[in-house]
Amino acid sequence: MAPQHLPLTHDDPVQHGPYRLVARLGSGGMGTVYLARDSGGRAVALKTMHARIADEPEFRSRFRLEADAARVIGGRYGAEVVDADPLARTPWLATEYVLGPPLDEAVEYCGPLPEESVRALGAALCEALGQLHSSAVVHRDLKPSNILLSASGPKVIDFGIARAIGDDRLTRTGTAAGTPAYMSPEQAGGLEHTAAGDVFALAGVLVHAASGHGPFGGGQAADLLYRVRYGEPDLGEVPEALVPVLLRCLAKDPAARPGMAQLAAELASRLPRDGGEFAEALPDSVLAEIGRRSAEVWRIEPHRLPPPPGGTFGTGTGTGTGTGTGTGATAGAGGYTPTQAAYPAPSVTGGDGVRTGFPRRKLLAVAGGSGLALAAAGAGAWAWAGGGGAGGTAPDGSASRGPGGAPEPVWRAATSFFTDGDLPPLLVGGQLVTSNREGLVALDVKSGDQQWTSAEADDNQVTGDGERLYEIVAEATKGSGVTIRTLDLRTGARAGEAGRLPDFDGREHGDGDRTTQPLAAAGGVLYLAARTREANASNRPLAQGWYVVAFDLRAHKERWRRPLKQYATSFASFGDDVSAYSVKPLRGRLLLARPRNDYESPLQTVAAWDPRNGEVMWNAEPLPRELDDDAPPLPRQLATDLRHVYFGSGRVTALRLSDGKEAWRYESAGVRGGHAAANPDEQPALYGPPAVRDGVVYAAERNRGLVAVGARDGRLLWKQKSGSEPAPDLDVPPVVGEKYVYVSAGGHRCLTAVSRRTHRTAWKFRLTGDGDGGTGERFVVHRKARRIIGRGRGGAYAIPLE
Amino acid sequence: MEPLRLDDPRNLGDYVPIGRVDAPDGEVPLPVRRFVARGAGGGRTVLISVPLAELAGDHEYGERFAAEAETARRLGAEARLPWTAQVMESSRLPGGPPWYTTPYVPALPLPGVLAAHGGGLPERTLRALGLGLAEALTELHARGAVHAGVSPGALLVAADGPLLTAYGAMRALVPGTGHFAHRPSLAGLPERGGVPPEQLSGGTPGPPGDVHALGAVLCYAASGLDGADSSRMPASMRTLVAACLSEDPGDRPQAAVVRDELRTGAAALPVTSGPPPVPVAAQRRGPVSAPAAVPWSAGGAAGGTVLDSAASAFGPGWLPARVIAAIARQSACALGAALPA
Repeated sequence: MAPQHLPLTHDDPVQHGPYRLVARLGSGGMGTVYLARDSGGRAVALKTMHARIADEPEFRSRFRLEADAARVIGGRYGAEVVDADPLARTPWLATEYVLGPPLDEAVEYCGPLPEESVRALGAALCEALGQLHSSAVVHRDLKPSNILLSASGPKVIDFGIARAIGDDRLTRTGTAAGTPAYMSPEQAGGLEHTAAGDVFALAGVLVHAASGHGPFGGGQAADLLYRVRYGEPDLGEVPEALVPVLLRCLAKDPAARPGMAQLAAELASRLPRDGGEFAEALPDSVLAEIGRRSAEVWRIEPHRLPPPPGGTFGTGTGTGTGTGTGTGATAGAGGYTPTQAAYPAPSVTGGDGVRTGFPRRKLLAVAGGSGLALAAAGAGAWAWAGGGGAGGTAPDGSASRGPGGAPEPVWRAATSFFTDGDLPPLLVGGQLVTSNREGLVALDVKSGDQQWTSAEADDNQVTGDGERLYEIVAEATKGSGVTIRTLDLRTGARAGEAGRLPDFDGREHGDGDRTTQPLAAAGGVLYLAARTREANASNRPLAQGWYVVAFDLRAHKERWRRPLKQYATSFASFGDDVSAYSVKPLRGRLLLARPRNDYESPLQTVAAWDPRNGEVMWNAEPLPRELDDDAPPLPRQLATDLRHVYFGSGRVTALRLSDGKEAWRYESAGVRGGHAAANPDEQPALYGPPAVRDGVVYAAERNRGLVAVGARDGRLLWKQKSGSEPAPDLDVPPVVGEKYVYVSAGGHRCLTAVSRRTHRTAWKFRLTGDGDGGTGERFVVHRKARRIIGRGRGGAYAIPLE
Repeated sequence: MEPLRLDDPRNLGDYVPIGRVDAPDGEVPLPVRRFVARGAGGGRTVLISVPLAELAGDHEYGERFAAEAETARRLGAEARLPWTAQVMESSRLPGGPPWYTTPYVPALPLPGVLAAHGGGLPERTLRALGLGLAEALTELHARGAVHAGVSPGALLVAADGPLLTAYGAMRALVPGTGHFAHRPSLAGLPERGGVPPEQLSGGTPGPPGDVHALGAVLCYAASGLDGADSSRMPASMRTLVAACLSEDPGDRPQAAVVRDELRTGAAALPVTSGPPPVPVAAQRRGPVSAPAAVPWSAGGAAGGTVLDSAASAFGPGWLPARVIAAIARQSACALGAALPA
């Protein structure tokens, strides 16, 4: 799941009132939420306002109202208020630290909730909102990210008070952040929001919990407003028994909706038992997450990032600690100097001919794009509603724009940093970690400032799970095993040891190739490809071969291993066009896409393994080999949603995650259920790796542009209109924002922004000022910070995600 | 967390206890007292263990207690002992009781787990606990050590697996039937299967004794009843546990064998809390209700693979919902606890 805590930045204060700050839980337009402790060790979630708006009376009033609403809802249905100082220079509010995931994350990672859980959730939320209503407070912005699932019941945090005072600009288009996600039709029409509006929103939340998406979908604000006011809700995946009552709650006429008490009665009416804890109504995976968070909070060490060094690589002083209100003696922080390059750069592989190890960086395997974005998303629900973009852009969220409408980069990093083929950028704890010739480099996601560099770790052997960095280190004696180490997020230096894999060989063979390759890390497990030694520690001979190994980061030992059949102990050279072996951990499944390998089979395959024991759940060979040499290799990123995994190539194909069977396939002539031959007179259709969001799959079609296809059934929704010059690239998946879908084009020379509303190209973004530079082939998306970060030959840069 | 009792220490070195882990005496026979404590100016929270109140004056006992703690610390310092609480600091200050700390992890003693669940635990939980305990003992024995005090109270259960605690505390008492009779707080421990027969009759504790105790702990976990009786185990575990409980230490399997036996079956179980438990006399005051089964969340994969380690036995669903809720409650309680005035 997404990491709950991030390090403090160098300009976060040391404390507020009696509470010393320990870590960041999240940040939004209005303020920041921290984990903090008093001198007695009592831990709280501390909400504050951004210093720059703390003087404005309007914002201070909002803050006070928020604190009042939190007190009204109380500790049973919300986070208990422990302490507050609304009159302080920078007002703050301390509440209990709730041990449980936000509902949106729970659904995203653990799947839609079963009927029983939805009923229990609904009944409890009815009581919670009833409590608010009886004190003449309406919520206005109830949504899944504002509801935490604790073992004793759902807790509502964030009361959307931001919209209470004079902020009735609900029909303002542009900043989706200002739009309540589950707003009622009357709200969408500019009318007042009443208790009946909260009933509507509650139903929307329950539909999301039951099906994974809201009743009116997501997407661009103007479309959403229209659908809410005039469209029919989509309750297709909601359990049948709940549909009638939820439909009534979603009635356009507020008077036709049931009241809270009535709704509570209907939801609870079929609960199989009375009483019982809320926890018993939750699925095992959510309970496991609650258990995990209960333990994890005790492992958080206070730490603070150093101030960014001035200048470029290696010259920063990097000393100093918190510069806010502190005296420099912050809990757990210290001064850091970036590590100078103490070791020679990793050697380039030499020689040709027989390789017995994975070629350096050739067998890249990057956890799927959406996984990265989510992993970097930070704290989720604790971010404040309202306000504009995160720091770095103007408060109303707009970025400065060049002629033609393309935004200027929010930041750029010096061009000398980056070369091809290095560590694909990882998002870890608010930093972007990648590498250059000298070693690992970490940049701050928001500002682009360099945080640290380190040459200690071998960037070929590094991966991250959004929270920590891991390195696979070969043990000192040749042929004597492998250690998994963690890297310090403040310096990139090797920190602790997560465990050993004594059966596997990490040493180089012959021409310097390593015999281990990290694949992905998520959910407490690190996946790597590795080769067994000849004999284990007790000198018993081991079966020789290559394996995918699952290393349990919490139990500190191997969980399972499964052979990689296509690589025998010796094989001929890979050549330069071998595809990536992609691995993507999902809930309950590990997806692997095996590359096209001429030595075994020309087919590309996808498999799902059980992450608990490596058992193959299903195997699919969905993609007939394209005889066309232009066909892109199996994409580096596997696009997935809750139901399917999607691929490009000759057609856009969707496989069911449950059993690997094809759900549908799409190609430009229309949807075909069976096998269809391409029109022999035309160059066969070809699609790049897709991206999926809000129930729509987007893919670039060769020489034509973007197509958007329904995720459930493969029905064509729209095609990009107007010129698609330059031609879209077929090796990079599109990035989906609120207003635009961004498509790499022209051989990575630019990013085309296609409007989701008009389906036309809105503008093209080019990175200027550097002759060789293009927009790059690697993108990471940090959704909470609303950045697209690109990295290519020309350097790294960030543009706003709109 | 329970409130502190009158005769519980108010501070131990720099640590201030904020709550008791174990219920009042007599319900959980255990030769130590355990507390959640704050230290380092509120910056750290630990579990701190001290001898029983009635042994406070016994200096020789205090020396042995401290020596066992130091041994425990060294055993785990080189490389982690799996599923075992790692001793961080131990102390023997003059004038005060000896104590040692382990990192705080939200966890309930096994009797507390049964109380939260309302009875004996489901098969999947039993297998997982057995596996974790067997792995811990295998590693401990491989390093030449013997726990000599495995009992329901000594086993803490965290959300992600068991934690074996109280290393050596029983051994420090100098085993002998006479000794137990004089310790009211330990009364009943032999009947609860906490002490293997050869140790009761004065023999030196050895690895087979730990295995016997493992069997007894599982019998307790399956039923909540005292007296180690393998017929209370689910059918698939009965033979194994009976073997662990053999009178003759030579007839008992080694911990590594118990571990291997429990490993191979672990992945075959469905992800559910299993059939409702046998209702049992409450360990605590208050009504006991039979919990209903948690709905299936996913099909289980059958069969093991090359290495089926304990880690996969602790996947979602291994612990019943009420137990997780109780653990989360303890964590929240410890998070929010203020220092005693």
